[in-house]
Amino acid sequence: MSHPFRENLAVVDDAGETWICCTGCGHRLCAASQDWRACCRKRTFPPTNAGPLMNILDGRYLFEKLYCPVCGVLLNAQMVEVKNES
Amino acid sequence: MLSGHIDPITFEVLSHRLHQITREMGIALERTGGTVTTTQQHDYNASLYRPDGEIMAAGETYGHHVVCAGFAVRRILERFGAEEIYPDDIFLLNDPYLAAIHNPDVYIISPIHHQNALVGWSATFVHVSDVGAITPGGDSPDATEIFQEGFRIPGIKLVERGKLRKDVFDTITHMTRQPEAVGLDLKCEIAANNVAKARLHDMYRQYGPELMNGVSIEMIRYTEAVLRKRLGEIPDGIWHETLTIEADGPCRLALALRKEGERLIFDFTGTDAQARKGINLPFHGTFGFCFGAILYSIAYDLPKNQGVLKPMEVIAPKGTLVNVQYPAPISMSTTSSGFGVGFLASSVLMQMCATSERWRREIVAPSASHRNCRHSGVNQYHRYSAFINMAHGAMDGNGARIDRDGVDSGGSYMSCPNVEWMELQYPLLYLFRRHATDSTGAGKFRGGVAVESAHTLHDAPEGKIRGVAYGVAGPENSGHGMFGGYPGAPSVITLMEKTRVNELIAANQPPGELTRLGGQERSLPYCNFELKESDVLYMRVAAGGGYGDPLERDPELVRRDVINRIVSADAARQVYGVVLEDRQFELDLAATRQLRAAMRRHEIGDAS
Repeated sequence: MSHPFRENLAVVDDAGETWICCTGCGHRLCAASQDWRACCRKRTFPPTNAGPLMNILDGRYLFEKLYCPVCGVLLNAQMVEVKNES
Repeated sequence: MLSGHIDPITFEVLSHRLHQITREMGIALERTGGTVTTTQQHDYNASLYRPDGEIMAAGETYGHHVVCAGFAVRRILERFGAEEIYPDDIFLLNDPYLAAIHNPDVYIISPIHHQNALVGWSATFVHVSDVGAITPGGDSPDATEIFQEGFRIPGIKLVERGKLRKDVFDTITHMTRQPEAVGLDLKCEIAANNVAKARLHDMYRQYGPELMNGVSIEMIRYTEAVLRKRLGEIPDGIWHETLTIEADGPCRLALALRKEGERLIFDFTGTDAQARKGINLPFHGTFGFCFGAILYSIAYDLPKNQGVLKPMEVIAPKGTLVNVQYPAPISMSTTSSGFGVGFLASSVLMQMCATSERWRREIVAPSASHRNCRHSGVNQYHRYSAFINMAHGAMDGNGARIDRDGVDSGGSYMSCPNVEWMELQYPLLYLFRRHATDSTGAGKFRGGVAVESAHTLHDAPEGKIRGVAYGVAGPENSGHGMFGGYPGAPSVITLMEKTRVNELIAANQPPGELTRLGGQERSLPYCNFELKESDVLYMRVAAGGGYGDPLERDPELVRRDVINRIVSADAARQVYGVVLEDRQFELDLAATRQLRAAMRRHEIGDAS
């Protein structure tokens, strides 16, 4: 059974296997049982990329965007905490 | 979906009449309440229950309190037993470890009898102005255990067989800083319960107990049947969400929603241990906030009753932020972990809805709520007030949807008095209360814009008032974006001390921009503070999260937002890739197309 998954992504059945696919270009990101986020193209930006009032997050958060690795459609955007490696 | 046991027209008439009773209870609360919290801000609940405490009908109010009042009815039944519950008794309960969510939310519960048989209950809560806690008003950031958070009553008869127990009433109000206001609020609850009792008696006389009982059973069965059918049409799956609240360090809430056939399982495993500060939520509160999230997502058009609860299960490990264990503090639970749970539950339900062709149209970008503050102190008429709620929740920007922008300052709950009324009642002077430019979460459809305000002291006899900062603290509050939409700007409370505000006002230069004020700024965590002469308190509430990629937003809509000062011209260019010519804000479509293409290339590098 195929059905929407989220904006620009769908769950698609093909020959008994289920995939998460980009609805823009048809690219199969991964099997439905896998984490689709890990299969995206990921870029991070300063928080103010999302607007000037995000400046209070500078240094503590990054603005992470996930794209379809083939057609580049934006799939997700969120602030993620900066991990201190020390 | 009706079972066929009851004539459908009779069912519709009676079920709507029951719902109307809860609305009339709410009107009674508003007209007779003792504080603005009840009369203008609508921080109350009014609902009806079956004899065993199952929700029969609920008014247009908080979902979580509808559930918790049902728990309160059961606690009264357990404590007193049917043989000790008489017609015209009225009970009071506010123990958060039994059924309430925090001490100031005082439940008043009234059994409804017909021909001496218990046939149901009515219940209300209002947020009373004081409970004698360590901090005036009840929200107590310094409390380390429940014993510092005010009176805590596990169930008592406030009215016995129609007669107010003055000894009990006086004992309760005597424990508070504002006995008159608390007394009025308790009496407005009694009044609302009396309205329910009178209307239900009319219905029982008109239709008889057999039909009334059958209708209430059928209402619950109908809601459950429709909800289960809807769930059955949505694909199974698991969806996750987290939220970190900052209270003496990060406190993480985690939720996994499993949808299995017609069941919803909310699993909070992985949530952090209960906190030292009173942001902890009791289990029944967690249950109630999940109920509310279902109600507002896929059951908003159904009769609000126990049927919504039947398909759901909540797993909340003991000793965590979502199932606090005695005697940890709890006083700030509703506006911190409570709203946090509401956000988590809404977010996973929205992700679930996205997998359904039918329900994806209903998606709203969820919000993790905001910061707020309350004041207490002596006003310009030399009267003490323990509870001045700034009520900013009424001015949150709402989340964007799949096909439209979020509502600007649409509010997440309650209502907010106007500036003039606040200044008339309290020793406050607003410098501004307005939409906050660039607060909204960008998107193909943007979130609703938030409100920012600044106020200072005015004509305060003591030259200061107290304040308490609470809400969802930390940069993850505010609206979250959906599917490429951006988050709204974080909600903040900033105290600016020893500013030039009075000097500027005296010079007839009211400061619209904070940069002109000078002074020392500090961001307020969960804390008590004082607002003194020449201090300014700045607050910005939650803005709505966006939906979809901002580079896909209609440039004309961005232009309108710039004209309306919702988005700055700089942000129009840098966030939306829209080029406007100076001053007249004429749209340069060719330059916009070029800029957007360049931004995409820059963002995704070689991907395209």
